[in-house]
Amino acid sequence: MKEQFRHIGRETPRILGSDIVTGKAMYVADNKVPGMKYGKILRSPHSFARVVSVDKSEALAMDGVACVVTWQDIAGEGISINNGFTPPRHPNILDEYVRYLGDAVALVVADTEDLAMEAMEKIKVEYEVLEPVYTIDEAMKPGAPQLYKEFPGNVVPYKNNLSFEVGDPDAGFAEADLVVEVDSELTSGQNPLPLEPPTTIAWWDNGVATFIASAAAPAYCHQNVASSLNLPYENVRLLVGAVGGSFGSKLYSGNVHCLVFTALMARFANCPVLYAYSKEEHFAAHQTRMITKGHVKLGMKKDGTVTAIEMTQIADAGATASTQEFMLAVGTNSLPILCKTNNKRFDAKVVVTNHVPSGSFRGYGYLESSNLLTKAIFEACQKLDLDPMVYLEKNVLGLNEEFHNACAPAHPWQRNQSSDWQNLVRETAKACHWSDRWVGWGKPTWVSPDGKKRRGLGVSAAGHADTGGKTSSATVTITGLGAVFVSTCMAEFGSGIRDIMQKVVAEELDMPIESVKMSAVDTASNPADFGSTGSRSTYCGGICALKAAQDVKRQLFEICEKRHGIPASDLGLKNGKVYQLSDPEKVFPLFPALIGKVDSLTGVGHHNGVENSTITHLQVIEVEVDTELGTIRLVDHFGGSDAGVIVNPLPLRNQVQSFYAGVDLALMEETIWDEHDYRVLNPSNIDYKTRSFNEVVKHDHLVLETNRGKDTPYPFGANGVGEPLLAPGGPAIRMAVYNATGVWLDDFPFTPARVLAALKAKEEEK
Amino acid sequence: MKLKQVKTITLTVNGRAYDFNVGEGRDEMPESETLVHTLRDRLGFTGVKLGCDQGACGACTVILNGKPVTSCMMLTMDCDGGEITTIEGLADAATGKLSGLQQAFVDNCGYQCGFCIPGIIMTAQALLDKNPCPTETEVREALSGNYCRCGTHYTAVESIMAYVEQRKEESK
Repeated sequence: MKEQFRHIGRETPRILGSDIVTGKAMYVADNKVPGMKYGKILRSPHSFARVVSVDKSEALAMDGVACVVTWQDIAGEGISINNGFTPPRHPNILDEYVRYLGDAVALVVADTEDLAMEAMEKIKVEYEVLEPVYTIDEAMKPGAPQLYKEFPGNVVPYKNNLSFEVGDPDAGFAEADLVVEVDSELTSGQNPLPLEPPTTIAWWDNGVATFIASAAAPAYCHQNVASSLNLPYENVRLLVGAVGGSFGSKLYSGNVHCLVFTALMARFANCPVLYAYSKEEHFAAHQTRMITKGHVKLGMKKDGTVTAIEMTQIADAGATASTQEFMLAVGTNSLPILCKTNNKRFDAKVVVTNHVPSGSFRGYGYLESSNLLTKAIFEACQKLDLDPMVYLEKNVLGLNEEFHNACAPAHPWQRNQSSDWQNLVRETAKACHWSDRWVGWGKPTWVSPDGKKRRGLGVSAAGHADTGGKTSSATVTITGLGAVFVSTCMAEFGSGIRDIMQKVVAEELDMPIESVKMSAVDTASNPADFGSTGSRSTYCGGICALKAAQDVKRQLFEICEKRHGIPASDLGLKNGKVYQLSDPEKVFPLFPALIGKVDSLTGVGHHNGVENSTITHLQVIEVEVDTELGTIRLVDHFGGSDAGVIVNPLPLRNQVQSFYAGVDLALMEETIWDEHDYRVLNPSNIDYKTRSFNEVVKHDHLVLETNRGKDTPYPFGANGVGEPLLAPGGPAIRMAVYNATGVWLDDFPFTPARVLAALKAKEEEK
Repeated sequence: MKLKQVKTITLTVNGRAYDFNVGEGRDEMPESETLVHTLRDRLGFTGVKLGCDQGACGACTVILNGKPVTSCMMLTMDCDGGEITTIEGLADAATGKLSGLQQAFVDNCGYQCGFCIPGIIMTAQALLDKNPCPTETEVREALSGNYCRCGTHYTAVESIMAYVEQRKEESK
């Protein structure tokens, strides 16, 4: 296995770098298509109502208004947000019924956005207001109002493996020294909130719905758009330039509303249409983090061995059931990632309610489940007086260790081939001086002389086991003059995946990096790819690029063997020329020795979605709680990852520093709903609090490269650090606050009011 | 041939003057138009990003008469006669050579998705125009109105400070 690389691990400016700093990078709204008009959406003022009538005549009479589209215009066409697989189709977009405050009532297209907004005010709608359900409990109450006739009891049928039992949980519990049971929930509805709001341009080209879209996983989005618009796959085309952040919210793996709306606008206006969500829509009518609640029963021995686990979980989909059951399925990965037991029972449900849909947000399902699960783990460790780092080292997966992956029901028994995560725990503990700092459960690491400020230490881990499970494809074309083109649907939203694929191809073909060009992202002319999601892109994007490069090399060597009689096994490729390994002086330029000048060979790389791949990340956090003000300050933040082999050093550093939405889930971020109608009360960057540049904390991290020099299934050993950068933050802070103050807080975010209330309750208990 | 009385305003953007006729006509600029739309939609300076349209994310920051402003919060009418610099005005127009500050972002990978970067660079540029050698704390305070979700809270500031250090070296 190669240890010295020409490109892998060497710093090069990001492909998009100079375009970003000059403002030339093209995000969706920077495009102007000839004849383009602008769309806006009239949204429901009621959380559940039937649209009795819509009078659009006055709006349509306005000069410059192209169309007003309502549910009646598309009735019977089978248009609904779905992926063609699960959950069942239900009329969740532009329907006779509006199911949350903000649901679409009428699509308006006009010459300008301002005009479309003026026209919206002229539309007269009559509603029959219905009784809504806002929470999981309300939705599941017997006799509760039904959102969809397809979902009796508001419970959504699913196809993922959300109900399973392995081993012998009852025997496991009998064997335990301690059994804890906890109820837990995550209700803060955090918003993924990329800076660029969901924005789409759509037009119809010979029956093909064509989009310039801010889509983070273009081919997957393509599939969901085709299915939602009830079109054959080939009648959709996505063109994707720069994507202004996603964090799961622009995978459009579930909530493809934005694209479907724009396609309908373009169809009825008969012209290209740009539809950009306002920030208010972005907050209140796109998607929030999944609300979920669960019950966990955990059996543990004194040494931290988990003997059995039982978990029930319910997810609140809001008004559209889409990706939530997949999130629950990936969330079951928290069981093998955090608890080493094969005695497991799990059962989950998805329910629909009358508020903005929930959806994917970095930490896809496993952030949610690890928040529920760690509550039980921490309680058990505390009761057994077990160092949580000792627990983690014992329970995370070792290399080649067998585990049960419920997310892959066809072959659930897998072996972790990615990394020795126990080693990661040890190395992280060492690097952050854990053993010097851990003073025990409920014990502060420091108290100010006046006793008002108290510090505590916390740690948590998170990860998942489907980084390799989905497919990727790419091709590599080399021309007679040695130009290399990589054809891929992998889009760039900041991580540098396209740079990784470029480097992998340049490394394998031993070419200068400048000779390797990445294709534009066009889902109609590149091989389909599951996309940059699920911590998979370095591995899966990298491996299919590598295979494609190997394939093109094989073809060149075969031609060389045929034409020049040198065995393929004795041939190498360097800087666009084939040479003989045993006689490097013998060189064959591709043109004219092997192929024509304006000629090319194309290698195909396909990654079939193998199993056995996992990812784990650790965070150690120290907080300072001001017991008088109730404020929590991060004193120190440390992250531990194992990249396998690092491909892009600086972008990787950016990635491991992208943890704020994780810690701030616990500290400040929340969607505030009006309890009377579940309208979002803080739909702005002012009222929704996030981390600003002058509030950064002391941070350091460790990134291991344990695959260096090893023969692994990963492209040059690179596994990536993936997306679990948010998931451990909340639990680690929860533990740290407990250790500082002696109170367990449960509801995110831990606002000063909640901190003070908990401290007061503790005082009164005494 | 018709004669018509028109109201006109003038903006100087990246060194060139542009006149706009103000009015309700289709090819006129409405009085209610904000600067971000004039720059993006009328002049094609799409490097100016529209993030929140609420004056709260800093993505649309441009330099107006020496001060950083969120262009989504400025009526274009109020900028009549103003001198504006956008992200497109930093690199050398003739050669395309990046400004030192832009180059520092490239060298230090001070970006991820990049959507916030034009606003961050313009905020930093406005600070540097006034205070050529700011401290890290001053840079962070200046950027407190710029929202970034990717987490360039460290590397964007490192990029700016690297440029500051480089200028200090050069002026020695």
